[in-house]
Amino acid sequence: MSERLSVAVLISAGQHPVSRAPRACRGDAVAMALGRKLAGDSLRVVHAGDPKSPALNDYHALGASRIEVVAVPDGQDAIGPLAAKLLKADVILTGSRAEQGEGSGLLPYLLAHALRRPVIADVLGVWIEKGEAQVRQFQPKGRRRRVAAPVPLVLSVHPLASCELTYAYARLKSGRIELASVVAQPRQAIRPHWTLEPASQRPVPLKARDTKDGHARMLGYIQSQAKGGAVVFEGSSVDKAQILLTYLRDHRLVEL
Amino acid sequence: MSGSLRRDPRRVADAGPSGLRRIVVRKRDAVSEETADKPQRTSETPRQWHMAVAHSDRGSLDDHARQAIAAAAILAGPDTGVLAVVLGELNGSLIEAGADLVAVLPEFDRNSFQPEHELAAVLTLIESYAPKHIFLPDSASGDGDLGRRLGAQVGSTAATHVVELDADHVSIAWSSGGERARAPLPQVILLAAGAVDLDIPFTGAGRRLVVADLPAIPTVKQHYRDLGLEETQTAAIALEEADFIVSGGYGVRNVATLEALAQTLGAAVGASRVAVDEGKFPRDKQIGATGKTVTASAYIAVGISGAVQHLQGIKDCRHVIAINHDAGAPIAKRADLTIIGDAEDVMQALIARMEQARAQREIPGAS
Ligand SMILES: Cc1cc2nc3c(=O)[nH]c(=O)nc-3n(C[C@H](O)[C@H](O)[C@H](O)COP(=O)(O)OP(=O)(O)OC[C@H]3O[C@@H](n4cnc5c(N)ncnc54)[C@H](O)[C@@H]3O)c2cc1C
Ligand SMILES: Nc1ncnc2c1ncn2[C@@H]1O[C@H](COP(=O)(O)O)[C@@H](O)[C@H]1O
Repeated sequence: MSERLSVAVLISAGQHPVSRAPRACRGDAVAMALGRKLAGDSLRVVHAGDPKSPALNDYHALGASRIEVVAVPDGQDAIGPLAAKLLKADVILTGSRAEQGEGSGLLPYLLAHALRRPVIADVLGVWIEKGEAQVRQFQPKGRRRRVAAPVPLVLSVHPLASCELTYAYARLKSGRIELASVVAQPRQAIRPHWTLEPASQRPVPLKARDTKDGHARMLGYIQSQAKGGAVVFEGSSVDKAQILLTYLRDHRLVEL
Repeated sequence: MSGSLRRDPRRVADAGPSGLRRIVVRKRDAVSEETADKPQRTSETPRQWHMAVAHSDRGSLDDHARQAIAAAAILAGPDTGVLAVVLGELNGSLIEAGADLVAVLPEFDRNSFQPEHELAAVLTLIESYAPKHIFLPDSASGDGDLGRRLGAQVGSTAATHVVELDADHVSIAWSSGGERARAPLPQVILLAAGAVDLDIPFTGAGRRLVVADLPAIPTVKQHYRDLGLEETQTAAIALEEADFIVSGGYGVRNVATLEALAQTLGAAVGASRVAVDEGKFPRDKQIGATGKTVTASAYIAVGISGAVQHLQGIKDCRHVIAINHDAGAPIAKRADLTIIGDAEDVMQALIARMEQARAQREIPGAS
């Protein structure tokens, strides 16, 4: 079944967070491994950007023998060219956020919107049956959800998806880059205009201007220092247990 | 001295985090006292709007969601109203959170996946109120997803993982945190947790929109099928992810009782460093500065004194309940409810009470 499906994975140029050394973006490598599970060697591996990026070598070593590169100059929107390139792909896999630049995690949504396809995020696993993708989705607090949606669609893969990544130097040497022609596209999405600033200080939380006088402010500080909830001294253990249980039930923390 | 009480500086003292003496002023009735003297942010009729959107959890909004509302309010001028859109049920008001108008859409729930309906509802409200900025918590439990769908749909600028903002800019971590980048305030703003200080000196009007006030939400074709949440084995969940934790300290003599309690509550087991050092719990259960940081909705600290190093690990827990035989233990200041008594007795009574209630499927005597 899945053999007849065309599956593509989108990879971005990664960067080690400390050394800044170019590498495969970890999350994208996981998405690629998930794609190989789904489509084997027929998986298309697509990158938008610089075809000479040293980060691409890493993907070769991780199993991408052929990488299709859509040459998009730095700073230009990749959504249009990628959408044009991926019109025929039934399943488009992405990572959940890029390691270089903005890393907004918006790309899968913008791409899905441009292609008018459903998008599911935080994917841990996927099964395709009768034109429908069934997805296991990551949720916080140890929970997992099952969601299904019709093919074609976009899936952004959660970095915790289980997969095997094996690195082989021989593949790094034999990997090929295939330059794809770019169709000029109107800009699809308006992105904020980012300018770099030094990150020497920790971000400052937004705080409301305090209109209180000095004395009230001081009181505020010491009062929050002494913050505390109800304290229950009285009663037997059974009474106390009932109070605790009532608290849990009132806040819907237990189900009975 | 503006009529306030004179306090004896030697009265009650407590050791602060840095070891300094700190005067403790007993909390009287903090909640009503705080809101009573807070003025309403603005009395003008709104001519434009800021919008905050978030899913509720069990009928209330968590701190991250409230930060989105606070941001909308702090950045609003006197002629700008704050519309809070709550997806899911909401008990209580959002006056203190700073919302002027509250649209509750109880047909949604963070536990169910219906992004197209949610998006249609939010877009309808956007159409009626034309908000200048839309704030959402960039959380993993639905709001981050909805915010990105919204960003792609409205086709205007959107910023995600925003770590800092003010009236003129938003900042994000650039290249995985190596650098930072700033941009003018976009229309859709997804806030990282902690980007806003929740301590606001004002309230909102907090008027709740009734169904008749709400614009009709168009029905849209759903492409997604929600097949539901998987059964999870609470014991197998990593502590960092657990939603309910029962944690034991030096005051726990019988670990088996604590484990039985955790089992009845469907909770994961954690521990203080002293309890781990004693060998009662494995090292990977340790919570605190040198252990794990947890974010549970409910955290029951049994026989734990609440040393700063331990409290550091539970600062993001929503409801903290302490069981301790010493009312002076610092944990009582952090806890929302402190039960004074012997750990073993209270735990046993709670297990018995839970089992009894389960057997009868109700809790008599509960308010
Ligand atoms: C550098 C550093 C790092 C640290 N990191 C951590 C960390 O990561 N995590 C951590 O937890 N600690 C850490 N600590 C240790 C921390 O300072 C405290 O010593 C420790 O948390 C205390 O553990 P406890 O509350 O179990 O024990 P205690 O402080 O001994 O408290 C026991 C409590 O149990 C109560 N109690 C006793 N018997 C009963 C009973 N029968 N019924 C009811 N209540 C009873 C007592 O009233 C008391 O409040 C660190 C310390 C340092 C210096
Ligand atoms: N230039 C690119 N070429 C191909 N895929 C990309 C590119 N940038 C981002 N992606 C994909 O989109 C995901 C989310 O990226 P972003 O929205 O930029 O954080 C990444 O994990 C990649 O899978």
